[in-house]
Amino acid sequence: MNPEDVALPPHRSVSISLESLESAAARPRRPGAVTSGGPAASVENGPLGAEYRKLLRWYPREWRRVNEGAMLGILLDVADGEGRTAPTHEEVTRLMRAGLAQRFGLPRRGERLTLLPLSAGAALSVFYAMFIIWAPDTRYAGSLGPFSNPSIVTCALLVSAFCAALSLRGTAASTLALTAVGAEIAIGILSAVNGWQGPGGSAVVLFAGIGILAGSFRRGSSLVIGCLIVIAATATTVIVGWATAGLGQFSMVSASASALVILLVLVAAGLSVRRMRRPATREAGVSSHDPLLLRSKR
Amino acid sequence: MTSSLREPSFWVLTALAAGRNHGYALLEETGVLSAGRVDLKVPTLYAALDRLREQGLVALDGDEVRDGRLRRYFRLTDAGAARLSEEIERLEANARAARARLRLRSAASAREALA
Repeated sequence: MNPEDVALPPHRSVSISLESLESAAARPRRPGAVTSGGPAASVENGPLGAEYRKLLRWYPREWRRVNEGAMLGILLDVADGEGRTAPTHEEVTRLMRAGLAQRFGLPRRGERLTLLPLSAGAALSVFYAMFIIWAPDTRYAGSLGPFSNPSIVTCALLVSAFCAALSLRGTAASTLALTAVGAEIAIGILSAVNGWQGPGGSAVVLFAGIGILAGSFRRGSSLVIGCLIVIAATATTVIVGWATAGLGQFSMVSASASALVILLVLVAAGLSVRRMRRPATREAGVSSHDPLLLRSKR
Repeated sequence: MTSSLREPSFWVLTALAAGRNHGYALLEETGVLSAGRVDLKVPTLYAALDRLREQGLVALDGDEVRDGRLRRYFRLTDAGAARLSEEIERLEANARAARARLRLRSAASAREALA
């Protein structure tokens, strides 16, 4: 089976189609149907149903709101057909993978542009490791091996994410990139607290921002907005660094200002990602995945 | 030029060509129609249906609750039927070309045997 077959489509801009809503409501039900059921129709639960529901939590909440009932129905039908009372290991893996794919909207064939942030992250990592922190002859506070600070861990994670994406292992790429974000923030905090040689606030913001963009596979205008936020946040951090330089490189003022900017970039990136992922949800209170109510803009 | 359909998508469209159907029945039908070569799993089927729906080849045809379980029905759209026909023609052209080449090979072998 082609691994891309589990890659789910990206979220798309949608608009409400009242005609489709009306036609769906007016559509006669086939004979034999016990009850008509919308997306929120209740389904039989039971222990196996509860287990599947737990596994379906890998999918985003909006997706589950529309599709969980139908998906659960098929999973239970298949389990009945095979005489099972528990999910198989294969099902667990596949649901986890498909849920993450849906969550992060992995790139598909022909969407290599979504690899741009990953490429930028990998290039930045190589540059940073070779020309900024490569110091084999000098020991600094916070040195890790021949590198002047532990950000080499972040660099390695981002390069690995890029390699994983090239081999179409989208879930691994996303996980590695987002892990790099957490690692860089943790290293930045430890650096500020312990007075290490680095990384500075601007490096933390740049790595974290690129990591978020790379790990979430943003596309189109969402990607552009994300890039602008990262650039603006990095520039702000650099300016804050200059402004507080007289107070000492590792002063609490500098560390606090950097932490504030890091927090702001994370919140801004999160909000922009959320807004771009569900453009119709806010307008109509329904999911963009509900094809009964919405029609994709093609 | 339209790219070829992936095999799961081809069999899902084929299964829906006979009429509307729900997810579980589609899983079974794709297995039967492909003589067991395609063994779709639930997440894969759902991904394929999502993709086909996004391309306008498949549409939702209502939800029904049977025995307390939600069943979502899908149907082939006109665009889906056209796309399936196009794919069938492509496969038939491939088969014709391959068969013609095999006939040439058989003829060459026969000539060598007679020489």
